[in-house]
Amino acid sequence: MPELVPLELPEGIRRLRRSPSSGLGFLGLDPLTQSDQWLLGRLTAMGAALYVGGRGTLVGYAPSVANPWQAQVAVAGDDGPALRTLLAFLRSAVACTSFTATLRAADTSLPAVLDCGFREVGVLRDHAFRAGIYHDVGVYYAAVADLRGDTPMALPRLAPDQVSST
Amino acid sequence: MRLVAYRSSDVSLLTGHRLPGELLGVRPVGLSTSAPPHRIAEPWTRRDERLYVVRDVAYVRYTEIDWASGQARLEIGPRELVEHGERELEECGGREHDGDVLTELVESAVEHGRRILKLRRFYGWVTPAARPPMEPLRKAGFGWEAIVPRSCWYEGVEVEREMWGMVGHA
Repeated sequence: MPELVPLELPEGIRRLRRSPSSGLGFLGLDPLTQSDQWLLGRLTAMGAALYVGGRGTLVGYAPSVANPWQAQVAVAGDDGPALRTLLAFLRSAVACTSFTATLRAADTSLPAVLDCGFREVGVLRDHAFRAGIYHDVGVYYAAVADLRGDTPMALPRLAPDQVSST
Repeated sequence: MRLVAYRSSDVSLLTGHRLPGELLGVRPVGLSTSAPPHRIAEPWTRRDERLYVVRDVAYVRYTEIDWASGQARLEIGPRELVEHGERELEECGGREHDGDVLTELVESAVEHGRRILKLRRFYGWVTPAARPPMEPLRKAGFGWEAIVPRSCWYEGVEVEREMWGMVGHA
């Protein structure tokens, strides 16, 4: 059964820098231009939490500002099962009923996000500056009823003695 | 309108009946009179946030600033003028503020962000269910960009929220 290992935020930020494409666009962050303290402050203010999925892929979520039952999710890399595990965990433990994600068209995790059942609900024009040009960022949304794919029947449990520390 | 830095004597502007994170945070139409007001935090803790005020008129907050991309989420919170009864609000169509005042406020906020903070893109959340005034946003150059269902809890229902944005070419 796949498990999610929760990470302390400083350790999660270090892992984010080591992930494919250095975690650009993960929860709207830009680890290339933002320092560790900045990322820590932003993630803490968002109330975000980071986890490691079964294959070592970093996943994370942040609750939406005006609706506690909606969460913004992100996965660092094209790992559909890790994202599905996160969505199932959010449904069961955090009582989320809908999810959002913001991704560029060139983001490595886009196939995984679309595979889970997210659909595009809008485009933010010239939103992110990466590699010398301004990119449009797509906003994706999925309600719990829209999720597809083989979600695990038994809900994943966090391993409490495996909380990664610095 | 001149935006100046926030100081502690402006704390009364930070509280008001508005939806959290709304781009133009006027009092939502149909909000019950006993609903608690929303209060934003003073700008001492977050480093990716800048708070300015137009004295006795509104607060203007640039939050989630991404300096490399030059973009920020904009929040404008006009001050609630008087304590309205529900019937009075319905009579004047739910509008407390003059449309021209709001237009000038939005344009001043965009101009300040462009000139002082050197930002080039602003976006914000708009909740259609609360029927906010859209003309001030359109006149300032904002356009519809995205719609996220079930993004806000309003009057007992999860309602959708739109993202309106503008790119200001310097």
